[in-house]
Amino acid sequence: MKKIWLLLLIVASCHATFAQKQSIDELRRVFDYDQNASLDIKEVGVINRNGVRIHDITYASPKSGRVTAYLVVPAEKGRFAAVVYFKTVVSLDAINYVAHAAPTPLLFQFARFERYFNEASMRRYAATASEPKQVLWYDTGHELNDLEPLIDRAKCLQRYIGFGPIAPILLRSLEQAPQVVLKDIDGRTVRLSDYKGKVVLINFWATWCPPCRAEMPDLVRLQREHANHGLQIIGITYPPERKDRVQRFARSIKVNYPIILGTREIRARFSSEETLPLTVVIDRDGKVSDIISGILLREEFDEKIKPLLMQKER
Amino acid sequence: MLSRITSLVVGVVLVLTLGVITAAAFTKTVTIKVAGMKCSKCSASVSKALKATEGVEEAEVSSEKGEAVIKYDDQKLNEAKLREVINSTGFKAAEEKGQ
Repeated sequence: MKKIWLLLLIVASCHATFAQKQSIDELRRVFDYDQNASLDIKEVGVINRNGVRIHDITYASPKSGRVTAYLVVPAEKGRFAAVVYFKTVVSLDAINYVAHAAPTPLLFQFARFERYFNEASMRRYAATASEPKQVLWYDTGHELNDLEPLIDRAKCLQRYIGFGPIAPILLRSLEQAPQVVLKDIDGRTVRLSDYKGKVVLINFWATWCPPCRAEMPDLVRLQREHANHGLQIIGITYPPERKDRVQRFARSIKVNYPIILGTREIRARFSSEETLPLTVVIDRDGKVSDIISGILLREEFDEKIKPLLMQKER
Repeated sequence: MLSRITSLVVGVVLVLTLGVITAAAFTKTVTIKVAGMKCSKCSASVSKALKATEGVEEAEVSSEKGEAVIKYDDQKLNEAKLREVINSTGFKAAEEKGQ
C-alpha cells in the first residue's frame, strides 16, 4: 500500500512541477521586459489638424524592436490624453511594457484588455507616473480603427483622472469616406461618389512592396467573383512610384479595377496608418467601415466584407 | 488485489508521464531569416499572416534583423509550412535556425 501512495505522490509532484513551469513560462513570456529600459521616443514629424496634433514617432520596444507609431493628442499644452496607433506592430507583444517601466511620465491604458480599464487601475497608474504626467493610450490590431470605444474610454479617462479626451474630429474623419476625384493610369476620371451603393475597397499599394504584389492577384480574383454582388476595388499607389512600372505590373497580373497613382496626401485623407498594403473598406452608404492593415486575409474578407456585400443596396 | 492496484497506478503514471513529455515537445521555436524585408511598412503582413496560421502561438517579425521568430505547435504544422506562409506574403523565407 505504501508503494501505491509513493507512486501517487510522484505522479502528483510531476504534474505540479510541469504546471508550475508552464505557468512561469507564460508569466515570463508576458512580463520579461527590462523595467529600466528607456522607451527612447523619437519624433519623426508632426501634423497639426483641426485642434489635433499627430506626432509621427518611433520608440524602442524591448520585444518588437524599433516601433513606429502615431501619437495623437489634442494640440493644447499640458496634461493630455492621447491615442497611439501602432504602424508596425499588429500584435499584443508590446502591450505590457510601459506599466512595468514605471516611474515614467507615460501612462498607458490597454484598450484591448478590459480588465485593466477601470478606475482603480487608472488611479494606480496615475499614482505611479512621474510628473509631468502624460497619458499614452494605445490599442493594437484591427480594432484600433474602431474609434468609438476609444473616444468613450478617453471620456472615462477624463472622468477618472481629470485628463482631457482626444478630439472627436478623429471619429468624424473615419465616419464618412472623403469624396475624392482622381485620374487612373489610363487617364479616366474616378470619382468615389460614383460608387455609392457599392462596397468599395480602396487598396493602397506599391510596386516596391512585396506583400502588396503578393496580394493583388487575390484582389483581382475577388473583383471578378464579387463584382455582381456590388464589390468595387480601387487601387491607389503609394509614393515613390513610376507610372510605367505601375502599368507594367498591372498588365502582368491583368488588374480588373482602376489603378490610381497616389500621393501621401491622398493616403492621409483616408488613413494615418503607414502600413502597406492597407485596405480601406467603405460600405454601401459611403462610410468607412474598416481599415485593414497588411495583406487582406481570406478570413478578414469573410468576416468584414462579405456581410457588407450581403446587405442590399439602400 | 494489491498487484491490480499497482498495475493500475503504474499505467496511470506511464500515461501521465507520456502526456507531460509529449505536451512539452509540441511547442517549438524557430528563427527564419526573411530575405528582402527592408520595407518596415510592409513587414507587418508577415507577422499578420503567421499569427493567422493555425498552430502558430507567437510570431515576432523584425524588419531590422530580417527575421521571424516563431513559436508553434509542431503537431499542427511544420517549418516548411511556416516558410510557405512567409513566402505567400511576397517575401522569401531563407535559412532557418532551430532553437
